[in-house]
Amino acid sequence: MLHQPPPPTGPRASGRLASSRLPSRGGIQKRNTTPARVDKDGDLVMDQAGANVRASGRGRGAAIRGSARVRRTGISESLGARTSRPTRTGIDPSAIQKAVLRGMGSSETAPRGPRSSLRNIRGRGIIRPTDEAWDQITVKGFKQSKAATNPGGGISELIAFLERKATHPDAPETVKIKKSRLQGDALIISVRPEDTSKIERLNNFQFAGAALGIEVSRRKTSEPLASNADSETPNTIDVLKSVLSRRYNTDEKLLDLSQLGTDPELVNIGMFSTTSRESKFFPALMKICDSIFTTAHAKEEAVVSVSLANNALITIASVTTLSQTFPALKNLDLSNNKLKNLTALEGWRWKFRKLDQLILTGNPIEAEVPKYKDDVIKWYPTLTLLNSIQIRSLEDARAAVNGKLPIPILGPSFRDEAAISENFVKQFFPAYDGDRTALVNGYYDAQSTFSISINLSAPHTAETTNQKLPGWEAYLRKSRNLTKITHPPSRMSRLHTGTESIRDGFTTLPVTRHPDIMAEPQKWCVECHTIPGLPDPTGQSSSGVGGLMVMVHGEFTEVDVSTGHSTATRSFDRTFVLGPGGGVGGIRVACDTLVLRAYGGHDAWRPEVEDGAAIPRTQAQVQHQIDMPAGFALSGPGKTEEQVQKEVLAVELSKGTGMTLEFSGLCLEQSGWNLEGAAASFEQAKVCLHALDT
Amino acid sequence: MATLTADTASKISTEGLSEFSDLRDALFHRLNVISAAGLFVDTYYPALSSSRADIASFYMPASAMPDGKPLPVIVYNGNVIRDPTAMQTLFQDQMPEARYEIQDYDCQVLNPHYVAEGTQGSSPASGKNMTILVTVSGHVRFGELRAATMRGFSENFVLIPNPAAATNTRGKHIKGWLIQSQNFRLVV
Repeated sequence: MLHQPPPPTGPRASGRLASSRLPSRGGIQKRNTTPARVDKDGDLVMDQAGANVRASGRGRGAAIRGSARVRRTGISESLGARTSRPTRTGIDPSAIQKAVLRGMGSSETAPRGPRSSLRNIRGRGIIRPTDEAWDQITVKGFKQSKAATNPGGGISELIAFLERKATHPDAPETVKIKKSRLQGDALIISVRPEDTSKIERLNNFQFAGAALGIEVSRRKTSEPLASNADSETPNTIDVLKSVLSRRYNTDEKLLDLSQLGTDPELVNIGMFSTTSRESKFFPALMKICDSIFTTAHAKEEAVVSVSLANNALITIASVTTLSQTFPALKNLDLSNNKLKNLTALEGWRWKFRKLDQLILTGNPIEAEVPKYKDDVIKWYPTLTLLNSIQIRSLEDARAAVNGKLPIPILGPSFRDEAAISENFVKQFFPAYDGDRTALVNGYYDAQSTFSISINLSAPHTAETTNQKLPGWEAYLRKSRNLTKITHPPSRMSRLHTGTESIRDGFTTLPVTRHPDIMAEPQKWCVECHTIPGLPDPTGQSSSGVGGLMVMVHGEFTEVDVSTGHSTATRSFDRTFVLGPGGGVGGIRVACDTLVLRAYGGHDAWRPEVEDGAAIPRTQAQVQHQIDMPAGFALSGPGKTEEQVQKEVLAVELSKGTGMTLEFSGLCLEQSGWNLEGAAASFEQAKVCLHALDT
Repeated sequence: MATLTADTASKISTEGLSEFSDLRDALFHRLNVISAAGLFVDTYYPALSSSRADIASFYMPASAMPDGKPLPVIVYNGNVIRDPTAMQTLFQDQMPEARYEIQDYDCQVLNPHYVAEGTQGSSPASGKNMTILVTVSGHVRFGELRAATMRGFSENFVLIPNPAAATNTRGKHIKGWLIQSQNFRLVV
């Protein structure tokens, strides 16, 4: 329902039906011009009213019109309606869309595509008598022909072929294809009714090596021709284009689709004269937008705002295609419609992922669902203005767009105990590069476990995207990636337990070179914290002993031992659990898991905030330098003890706040020389000042 | 696990014929560990995406280590998260939509004979009296946009048995394992 309903002129049924104008209502509203049954899908079952409607390809779907004068509706209507809800009938929605658009075209009537259920529908009301004087035939299969590669796609060859083959050598008149039009893989041709059977015979004929499929998609109507008004209807597409260009504001990048129902140009062509046309109107308009702006970027650039104000919309169903055509819309005005609850908007939930401003004022929802804003705010995480009221900061909205994390990426959380982890990491990796056997003997024992897994599909840095990534041949048979290794014996055998097995595991892995952690600390991210519950080597405590989790993220290169050259750079994540034991420094490696992945660089763990800024500094930690006259705050000749005391307080306050001594004195005066009170009022004042500054 | 093997070996040497059942138990325990880790990975990440109200239920109750440090330990990109409730609130209120893909996980038994202080633990044959180290590698897309950047992450967990599961006789659905320690890091 895109237009203001005409003022009521009388009882519904009499006034409107008599004039064959349907009451205006939402595009897919149920109709009750005659008693109607609703089937289990909720679609109207209209067959009981069939007398007026000549045929219906399906049992349901034909909407009833008051007289035969009402335009082609029936199936096209039910299809049009169905586009706005999920189809349960197995009809391809995109085909419906095409059908709907075709229905809008001036030269075409109802979408009766090649689908068998929609074929052979005759005798509908018409709009364009000249066009309706011809039969329409769908020709398929030529795309597979050799001619399809010809300039023009072989269409002219196909047409010539059909005309030639259909014309009987002795016939007085040659078969002529009056019109043709490409639609997807099909060519829709129009021919005189007397030629139809001749073309039909060519079904399965070979055209340049491909069998043609020929179906009559529409036959000439025998209904009385439409009135003069209809025959003068201007080309709908041209009208829609004109409407679009008239309603598009280049400067504001605004597409003003408000008050469509009173648009003279649209009213003139009877765009809203039937629900059928009305329901097709908006999808068609969007289709035209899609044809004007062919890329998403072009649309985003050209149309920033859309107004659908004052359209008497009960739900957004009839205009839902807006979100498909302009998914990146920034501003949307839905004010002064008849949207009364969130269900009416549901179709656009999670749509418009860049929406910045939404206007819903003047809708019943304001009164009927007072808390609707809470939901709408959640639906659109990028929204900053709802009904012109700021509901979210620009930063928060931007963060939502970028998927920015609410907490910053900090430097390593390194909560060591007696420098155990620090020493371990500094020693471990050089030893891993140099002498793995000694390393195993130094840190691992009979209960230690080690496993390696390869993440073959890990994201990697952009620089490496175009290069050929080094293969994983040397590792794959050892990988214990449990998402990939599902065979229990393999899962078991790829876990190394005890020094001997771990040594075997280590020494059969390629030789590596890790960057020097002291020289290139940025290439490393080492974190650690203590955990309880490690096995007690003495066996005394079942709840275990304390240990350290050490997480290391970094990179290494593989080294060709014969040449000493680096052959591949890879990233790794390695987790150790260190506990008390008999190894170097009284520790043991309880667990060691190594994950290898394609090189991913080290930007990911670069802190977003400097450590200093991450910790909010309290006033107490900041001591401001202050200019102090000589002898200030010191006892001197002619100064009372009280004066000295006041000066000392002023100095204290100035140090804490950075205010001048003079201002500190004033603050203190106001607070009765109470330092805490003065500091507090300073803090308050500062907040206000800060708010003014920004 | 290692201990199970060693135990089994020593039992075989000392007790002879009981070896088969012990070996079977050992194998059972190992598989139990892997299925516990797999179940954890299969449930925890979907919760982060779509059932954020359940996040806190994956963690052991807030408590303290013997030296007073808080448990569970939760570290997220270097930020120490105070407790499971804070983690859940962070995800519920602030975290953008997050879509995870787990590309690699691995697990090891950390402590094969673990019984939490003050609990009786499960029956020794159940294979549940242990702690498990789980390491995960994958990618995550934050934000609503389909085209959101794919970020590689590395995360590890220490899971401990849920004491409530050990005494759960009513067949209620209770998580068998709870997070004691967690460290998440974006790595790409």
